[in-house]
Amino acid sequence: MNILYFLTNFLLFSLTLIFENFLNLIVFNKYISISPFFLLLFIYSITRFNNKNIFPIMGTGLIYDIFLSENYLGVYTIVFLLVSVLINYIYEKLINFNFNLPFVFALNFIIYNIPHILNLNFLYNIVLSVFINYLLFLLIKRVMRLSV
Amino acid sequence: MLNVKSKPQRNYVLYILFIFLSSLLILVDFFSNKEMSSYIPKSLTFEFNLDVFETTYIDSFNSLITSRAELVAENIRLEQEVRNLRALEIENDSLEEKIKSFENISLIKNFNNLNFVETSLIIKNSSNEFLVSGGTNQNFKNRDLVLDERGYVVGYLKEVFYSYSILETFLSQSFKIQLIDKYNNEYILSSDGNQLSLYSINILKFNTDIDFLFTDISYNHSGKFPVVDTRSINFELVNNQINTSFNISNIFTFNTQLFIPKSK
Repeated sequence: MNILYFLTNFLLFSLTLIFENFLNLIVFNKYISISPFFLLLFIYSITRFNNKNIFPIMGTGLIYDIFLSENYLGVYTIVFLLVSVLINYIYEKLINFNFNLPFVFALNFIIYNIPHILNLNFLYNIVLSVFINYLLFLLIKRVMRLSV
Repeated sequence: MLNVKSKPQRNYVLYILFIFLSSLLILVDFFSNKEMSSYIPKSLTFEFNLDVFETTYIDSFNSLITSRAELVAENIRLEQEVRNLRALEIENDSLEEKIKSFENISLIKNFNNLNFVETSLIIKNSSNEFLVSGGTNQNFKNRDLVLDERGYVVGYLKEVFYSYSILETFLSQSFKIQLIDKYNNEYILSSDGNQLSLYSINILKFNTDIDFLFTDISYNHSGKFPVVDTRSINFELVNNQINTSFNISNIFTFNTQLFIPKSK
């Protein structure tokens, strides 16, 4: 059962990550990046945070590092795991105020994009992308009736 | 979806352990000069297939988007071109009409000494006077003759303003003009608004082949232009005088091209 859970989640994460790359290839804009994988990670980390997610996330990170990235093996694995932990930790334990959800979202989106921090358009990219992705998150939240 | 309540902090321990594990992977990969991360891509021909996939499907998809964008752009360009061509067609028709009217007017004798300034009707006022375009800005003056495209006189300028003028025609009750025929007999043509009255003021030599009564430079007219075709009216000498009335027939329309002859 655990293997099935791992496989389905691994497939879901991997396909979403590939879709994210493909989507950003089509929506070729240096100021905007749409991140469905981050949204998935965010939703999972808030609503379904579990140790069982470690392997699918790590596997996805490794796949990304091996096939889709020029970075050293493990960079995106760390980023994905770190983002997942931080989302849950900050949201559940660290802060509690009215706008904690957008704050957690924005902060972790920045951490998610840390590998691109040397990019000159990083600031514009982050500002616009956080906004757009947060809107997407709200849309998904409403459609899926997520109680977050 | 379930709203998971706060988790015990030990849940993060495993995550942190795997983060350290991943850090170890980075170190190994760094010191092995990316041997680890490039092992699978190098050993598999998947990368080649990925290239094929990229070049075939993604490129074709990109080219689809590009070609669609090009088609949309071309469509917009063609629509604009059609609009321009329609505007040009209208302009061309208008110019053809003008050329035709200019050809007609150029058949007038002594054309070489005159410039024909084009004018057009703007509106007709309640006194049966017509407002025509052009005034002192085009060097128009009071009593300047106004011709139609055949070269016939249709009236004269009664009052000239800066950009428009008032044209007195046969329809105006105060229309009055002095004319001459080819034997230098002199006439006065006047109108009551419904009929034109023609009477002679000086008959020197009368003949049946007079045909036309003209304007003349001796009356401060700009040239010799036909006004009345005597063949179509009752034009007979009685008691060495001509005194006749006839209906107004030479009515121009808003489509008539009008010209004002000016001496060069």
